[in-house]
Amino acid sequence: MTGLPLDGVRVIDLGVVLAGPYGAMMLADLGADVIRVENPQIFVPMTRGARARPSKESVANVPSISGGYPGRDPGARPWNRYPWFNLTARNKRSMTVDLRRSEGLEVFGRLVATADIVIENSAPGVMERLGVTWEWLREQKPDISLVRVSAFGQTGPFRDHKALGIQVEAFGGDDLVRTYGGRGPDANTWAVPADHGGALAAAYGAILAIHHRRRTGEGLLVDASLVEMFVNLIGPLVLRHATTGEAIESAGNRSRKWVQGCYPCKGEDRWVVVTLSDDHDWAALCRVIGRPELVRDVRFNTLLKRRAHHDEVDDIIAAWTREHGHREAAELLQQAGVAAGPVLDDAEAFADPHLRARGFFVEMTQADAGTHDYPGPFWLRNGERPEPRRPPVRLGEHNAELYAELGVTPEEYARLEAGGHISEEFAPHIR
Amino acid sequence: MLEGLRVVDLSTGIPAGFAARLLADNGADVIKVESPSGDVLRQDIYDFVYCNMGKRSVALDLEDGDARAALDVVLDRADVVIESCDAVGRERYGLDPDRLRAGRETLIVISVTPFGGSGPYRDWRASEHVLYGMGHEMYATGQPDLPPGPLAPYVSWLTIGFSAAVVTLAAMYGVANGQGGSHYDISGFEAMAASIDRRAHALVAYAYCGDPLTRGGTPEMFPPHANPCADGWVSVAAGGLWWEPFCRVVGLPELAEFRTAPAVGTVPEDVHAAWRNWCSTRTKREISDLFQSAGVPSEPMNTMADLLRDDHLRSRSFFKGVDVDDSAGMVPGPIVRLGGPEPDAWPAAPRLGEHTIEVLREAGVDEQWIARLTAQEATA
Repeated sequence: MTGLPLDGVRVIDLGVVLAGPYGAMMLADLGADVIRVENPQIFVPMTRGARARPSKESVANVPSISGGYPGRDPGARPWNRYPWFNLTARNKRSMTVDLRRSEGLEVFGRLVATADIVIENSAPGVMERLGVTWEWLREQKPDISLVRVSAFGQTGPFRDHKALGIQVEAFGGDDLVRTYGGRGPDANTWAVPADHGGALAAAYGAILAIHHRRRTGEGLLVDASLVEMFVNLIGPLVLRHATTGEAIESAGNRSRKWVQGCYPCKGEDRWVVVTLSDDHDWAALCRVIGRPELVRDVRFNTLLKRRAHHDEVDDIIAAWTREHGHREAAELLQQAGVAAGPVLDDAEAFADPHLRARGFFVEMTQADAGTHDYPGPFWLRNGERPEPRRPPVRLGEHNAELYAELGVTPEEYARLEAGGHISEEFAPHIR
Repeated sequence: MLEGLRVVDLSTGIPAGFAARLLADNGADVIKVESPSGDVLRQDIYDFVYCNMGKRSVALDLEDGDARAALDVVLDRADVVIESCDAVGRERYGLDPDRLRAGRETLIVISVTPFGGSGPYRDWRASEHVLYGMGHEMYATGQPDLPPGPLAPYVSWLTIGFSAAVVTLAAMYGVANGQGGSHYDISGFEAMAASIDRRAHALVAYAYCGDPLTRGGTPEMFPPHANPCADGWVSVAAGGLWWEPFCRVVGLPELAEFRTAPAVGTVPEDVHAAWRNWCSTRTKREISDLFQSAGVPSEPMNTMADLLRDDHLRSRSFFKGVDVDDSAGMVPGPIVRLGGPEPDAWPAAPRLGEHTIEVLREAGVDEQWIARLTAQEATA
């Protein structure tokens, strides 16, 4: 028992890649008992790695998002060392089983009978082919809830579309409203907020489902469409267009309402974001940059005029920011009450004094990946960041204890192990 | 499913307001307490409606002791308080979370602020773009020969609010099961830094091998993500196993020499030109439909108008109506579908102080007190 709000709630995490596993981890962070069920006979790319057993040479020079193993070394068990997966893997247990075979499905059914929520985000058709349907799950546990995360949802003409996060966003209107000012979407590069939104949607749907069950005794089938979630994240643009008919254009790094920009600072590729919402902010900035005479300059003395002369305002601000480091520029402006912030690269964010002071990074030691700091849960409860209860879970790490919980005898266990269901390694044929 | 639960929303602005609205979406009674001049978000009616649909509004001048005491009576019946106060405001209006929770054993207090309630940047001001630049992967987004590039507007603010709503719903579940109340401090900066794609996993990769992401660090494969076509732009992904069906659909002999998706920079200009030419005679829907039939990820890059007309979203009755003053607007429907009946329209956002008297009466504030508050214009 954790004392956390989702104490006693058992979640089966069938998630792949990002949204499912990270959403399940949000529930784990909030106290749920989350069990990953993984298949050592199948490797789903981009879940526990781009590949199961990459060579050291093949990951030596790739971007860390495709490789990124500790010390750039895949190690003996790369699937337990992949940063993308390990980010999603704390506070969970893992058992392995091959759901494609009837004895595997039978064992899985025993687990389902103990669970409250199942989360899945596989490609359309995968769950159906396994026979792990809403109907089948309810036969094992009548009040279970199932959260299905997919690109376009469980119904509709695009239900079976193949779509990565970047397609979800393209369809959802993202690309056209985040272009650089004056450029087309061909100058955009990946941002992919839909994956995080998908994780939030999985957790949101799961918690709503158990609220519902508390009141009614019944579980829910939660249909979480990434496209519909994403359109919610730009909802005010939809509302503005629907009400007024106006075309929604991208403002780039500028603001649709205020004066804002991303300004170059001293040093190599360092930037500060500054937002000036009113005359008070403009006056404060003018004093900070040593140009108090600009406060009354008729080109800039109202918000409308500053926006009309935005290029000139940008030049004035950039002339100052170029003389200062990005942190320094932000600090000076913040001291004067102006919203400003340095654009932090990963190294700077990792060392950021505010994030560190608040204990945002949590240290975890995992037998195959070693000891590292990880981004922690994004919330404090009663002033404290929750301590991780378990480090990033390794493949099949809890097979023995979970199979025992399910009443599997030593003989059955040995048979399932010989049959390739139970393992801490991916099958040898998987490269 | 939250019917009968009462949320007092003391917040202003987008993220906390959106978190509270999600609770209203799911049946909670959300009482928004505003100053007599109202939430500053009212300056943009679309932002305000989007973040406040379905709430009731009470206007109280918390500088006035009488009004502040009336708020306490309302708070005595609350299950959740959502607030976004800075340190000064908390002090001034007596809204410190410990003070709010004193004598209210099961009260959940959710604080949603840009940098959290502690730490060296606690009192920093934030815009959405400032939080994006600091918290998220702005540095590594965009072209290497240009400044870092933006996220879509609202995505950061609403992701923060959505994050807060998830925590709030969990906290409400715990209390419903007999736990005591608690205080959750949610920092927008941290909600951004915990965003899995791309910041949080870049942070882990950095922790593992010391390489921060940069712009231009990931070479783009051919075809590019964004491709101009007859009526706009279309997204295509043809890496890995999708390359072969991509080539089959396009049928350009120029592509035959590539066994797998090549890096954009290694593709000769005549191949780029042949591909652009192929796209130029087809619409974004034609192109994406062709590729989807072959199992290749591809979608049109939709405008707002495209979204509102889209057949798939229409078939799912996704967009709902909402009143925006006297106009008819449309908003996205529920973030997740729970299988029950859905209304065609969202409830309107409240006028300032529209429900002050009824909420105070419900809470048991007596008529003389209400009259006094009204007479002093401490309420709207």
